[in-house]
Amino acid sequence: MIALETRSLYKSFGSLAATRDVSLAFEAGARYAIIGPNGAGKTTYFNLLAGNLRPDSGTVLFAGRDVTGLDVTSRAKIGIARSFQRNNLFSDFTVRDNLMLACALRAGTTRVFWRPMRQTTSAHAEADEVAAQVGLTDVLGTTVRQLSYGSQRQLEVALALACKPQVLLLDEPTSGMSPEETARMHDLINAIPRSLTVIVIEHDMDIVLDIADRIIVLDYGRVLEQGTPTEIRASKVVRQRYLGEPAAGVSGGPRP
Amino acid sequence: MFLDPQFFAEQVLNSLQFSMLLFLLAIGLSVVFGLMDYLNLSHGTIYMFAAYVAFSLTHLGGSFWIALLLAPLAAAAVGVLLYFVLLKRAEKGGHLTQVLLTVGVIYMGTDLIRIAYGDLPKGVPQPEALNGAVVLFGIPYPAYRVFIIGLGLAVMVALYFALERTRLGALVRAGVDDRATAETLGIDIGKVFALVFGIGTYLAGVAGVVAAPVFGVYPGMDASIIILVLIVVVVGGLGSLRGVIVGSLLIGFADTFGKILLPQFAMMMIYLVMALVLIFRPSGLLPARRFSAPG
Amino acid sequence: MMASRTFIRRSVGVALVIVALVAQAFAGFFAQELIAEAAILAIFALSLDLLATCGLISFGHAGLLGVGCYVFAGLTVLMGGSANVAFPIAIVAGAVVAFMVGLFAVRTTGAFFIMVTLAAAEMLFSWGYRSPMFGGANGMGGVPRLNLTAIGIDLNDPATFALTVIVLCIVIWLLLELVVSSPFGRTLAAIRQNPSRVAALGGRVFFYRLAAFTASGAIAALAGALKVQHINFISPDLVSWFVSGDVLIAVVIGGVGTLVGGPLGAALLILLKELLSSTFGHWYLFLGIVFACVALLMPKGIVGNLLDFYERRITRVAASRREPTGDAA
Repeated sequence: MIALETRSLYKSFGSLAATRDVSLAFEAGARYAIIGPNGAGKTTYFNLLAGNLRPDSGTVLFAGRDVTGLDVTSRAKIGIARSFQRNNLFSDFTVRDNLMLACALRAGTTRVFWRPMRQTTSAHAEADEVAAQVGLTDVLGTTVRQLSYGSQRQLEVALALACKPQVLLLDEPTSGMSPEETARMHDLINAIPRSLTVIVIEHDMDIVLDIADRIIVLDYGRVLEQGTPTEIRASKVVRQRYLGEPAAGVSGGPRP
Repeated sequence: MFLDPQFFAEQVLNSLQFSMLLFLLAIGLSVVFGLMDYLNLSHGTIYMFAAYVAFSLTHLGGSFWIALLLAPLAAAAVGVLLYFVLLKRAEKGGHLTQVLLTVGVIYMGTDLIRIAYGDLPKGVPQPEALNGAVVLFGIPYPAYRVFIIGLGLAVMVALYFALERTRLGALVRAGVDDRATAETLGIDIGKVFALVFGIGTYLAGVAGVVAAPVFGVYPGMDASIIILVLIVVVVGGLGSLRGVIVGSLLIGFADTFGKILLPQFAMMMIYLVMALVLIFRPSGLLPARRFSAPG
Repeated sequence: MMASRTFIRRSVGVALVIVALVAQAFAGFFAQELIAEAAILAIFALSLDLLATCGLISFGHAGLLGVGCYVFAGLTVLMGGSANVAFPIAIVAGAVVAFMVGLFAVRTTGAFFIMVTLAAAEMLFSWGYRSPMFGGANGMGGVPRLNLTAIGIDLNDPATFALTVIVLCIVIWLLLELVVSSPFGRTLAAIRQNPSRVAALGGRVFFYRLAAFTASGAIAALAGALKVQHINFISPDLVSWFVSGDVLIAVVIGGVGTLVGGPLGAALLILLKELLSSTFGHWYLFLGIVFACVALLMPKGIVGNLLDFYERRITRVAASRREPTGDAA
C-alpha cells in the first residue's frame, strides 16, 4: 500500500527552482532516506510533504487522498508528522509539558479549559510512554532551555512521534550531534515500529545505509536516483555526484 | 462638491502638505522599526522638542530660517543622546519594554516642556518671504504650504539617492533585509543604527520646525501625531522608503478627505484605511523585508 | 519546576488579595474610591494578560473596555434598562465585538497586531467623540450601578462597591488561574513560545488566538461596565489610547504572562499616580522616570523578575550537583 505519494511536484522561489518534477511513492511501513548535497531541495520537499509549503503545481496524496490543499495543521491531524532541522520546541516548558501538549493536541483535548492539564491522565501516560521510547524519561521534569543539545534533538523527534502519525518525516535528526548522541538517535530510529512510514533527510551515510529500505537522491530539486542501499552504492551517477566526494557529509558534523 | 475643480485642487494640496509632514516624521521611525525592530513611541517627543527650540529661536529674534537650520540639529543631538543614554538599553527587551520606556520618555518630555514653557500653546511665525500665495493649478495657495510640499519632495529625492546610491544606504538596506547576515558580513549594525537614528531624529526635527507655524506649538503635540505616524509606518510596511512615501500619502489624503466626506468620522477614515490595508496586506503595502525564503 | 513557578505566582496573588482586603477594611471614603479604581484596572489588566498568554499584545484594549462602557451606559441611561440586565449584555457584547475584530486581527502578530487593535479602538473612540447620543466629547452622566439590594448589598455605598469589585477581581483571577493551567491555557502558552510548532502538531493557532481574544474581550467589557458604574459617567476618554497604554503599562510593570502581575501593576500604578499627583505639581515627569526605571531595571516586570531570580537560584543549585554537559553545538 502507498502511504504517501507526490506527482510531478514543482516549487520555486523566485528564479530558484527548489523542487522540480518530483514524483515519488512511499510504501507504508517502509524506511526512506533522502540524501543530496546542500541546496538540493530536500527540506523544501519535506515542507511540501508536511504542508508547510504549497507546491506551484503537482499533487500530494496521502493514503490515496489528495491532500495538496491541506495546510500543515490539517495534515498533522490526519497523520503526517514532522520534526525540524533546527530544534523547534517549547523552550519554557519542561520535557513532560512539551510531550503532554503534543499528546493533548493529537487527542483533541486542548479545548478543555475547565480543569488543569495535569489532571488529563491520558496525555500524562502517553507523554511518559513517548519519553521512554526515545530515552528522555530521566529528564522529564527539566525545562527545555536547560536540556543538553542532544536531548533537545531527541525531544524534537519525540514531539513528532507523540502525534502518533502514520507517516513520520524526520529532517536531519542527527545534525549537530556528537558521535554517541548520533548512535543513540540511530537506535531510536531503528526502534520505531513498522506500523509507521519513516522518511528521513540525513547526511550521515552510515545511518542512511543502515536504516533505509530505499534511498532517494535529490540534486538541484530533481530525483537523481532512487533504489535500495545496494543499488545506490552501485549507482555510477550517484558515486560521481555525491558519494564520490568524501567531503559531502559522510560524517555527522554540524553544517554551516 | 468634488465637481468644483478649484476646491478639489485645494484639498489635494492640503493632503500633500500634511502627507509631507507625516513623511518627515515617519521615515525615521520606520527605518528604526525595520532595522532594529524597535518600537520608539518617543519619536514624537523629538518633533515637539524641535518645535519648541524653533519657538525659542524665533522668539529671541532669530529668523525662521535659522530655526530651520539649528533646531533639527539640536533635535538630532538630543535624539542620539537619548538613544545612547536610555533607549539603547531596551534594544533586546522586546516591544513591551520599549513601549514602557518610550512612554516614560514621552511623559518626561511633556512635563519638562511644561516646566520650561508652561501649558499654553505658542506660535512660530512663518517666514515673511513665504507670506504670500502662489497660484497653483489655477488657485491661489499659501506659499508656505507649497514650501512644505517642496521640502518634503526634496527630502524624498535626497533619501532615495542616499539609500540607493551610497554605501550607508546599502548598509541600511542590508541591515533591514537580513540583520543576521549583514552582521556576519562584518557590518557594525550598532553604528549604522546610531547614524540612522540621528538622521531620523534630524528629519523629525525638520518636521517639528515646519509644522510649528501651521499647527502651533503645545505640550502634547507629540502624542497627538505619533499615532498617525505609526499608522503611516504600518500601512507602508516596515523599513522601506517607498512604503513610507505611499503610507504618508495614503494617510495624508485619507485624513484630509475624510474630514470633508465624513466630518463626523474624520479619524475613522484613517483607521478604516489601515484596517483594510492590514487585512489584505498583513505586512503593510511595501515592506522592506521579504518574509518568504527558501527553506 | 513549573509547579514552583505557579506556586510563587499564586503566593503573590494571595498576598495581594490579603493586602487588598485589609486595605479595604480600613480605608476611608477617598481610599475606597482608589481601591475600586485599582481593582477595576486589575480586572482589565487580567483580561490583557490572558491575551498575552498566547503572545498577543493589544494596544487597543481600551476599545473592548469601551464596548462595555457604551453598551452598559446605552442600555441603562439611554434606554432606561435595568443595570442588572445591562451588565451581562455588556459582557456578551464585549465577547461578540472581540470575536468580530479578532477574525481579522489575530491573523497578524507583533507590531501589526498592536496597530490593528489600536486602530479598532481608535475607531470606537472617534465615534464616541462625535456621538451626540452619549454627549460626544463632553460625556454623559447618570450611569447607575448594579442593584443588589435584593441580597442586601448596596453598591451605592463606596466601601461596598470597592469590596464587590475586589471580590469580582478575585473570582476572575481564580478562573483565569484555572484556564491557564488547563490544556487550553497550556496550548496558549505553547503558541506564545512557538506558534509554528503548535501548527505542525495539529493545533489550529488561529482558533486558540481567537478564543483567547474573545474571552479577553468579555472580561475587558466587564471591567468597562464596572468603570462607568464606578464614576457614574461615560466619556470617550475612557476609550482613548492612553487608557490602553495605562493597562499595558500596569501589566508590564507587574510582569507579562504572570497573571498576578497585572493586578499588582494596576495597584502600584494607581497608588503611584495618586502619590505623585498629590506631592508634585509636574508629576508626569516622575511617573516617566519610574516607567523608565522599571523598563531598564526590571524588564520582565516585578513578578517576572521574581520568578527569574528564583529560577536562577534553582539552576545554580542544580548545576552544582550535575556534571557540565560538554557539547552544546
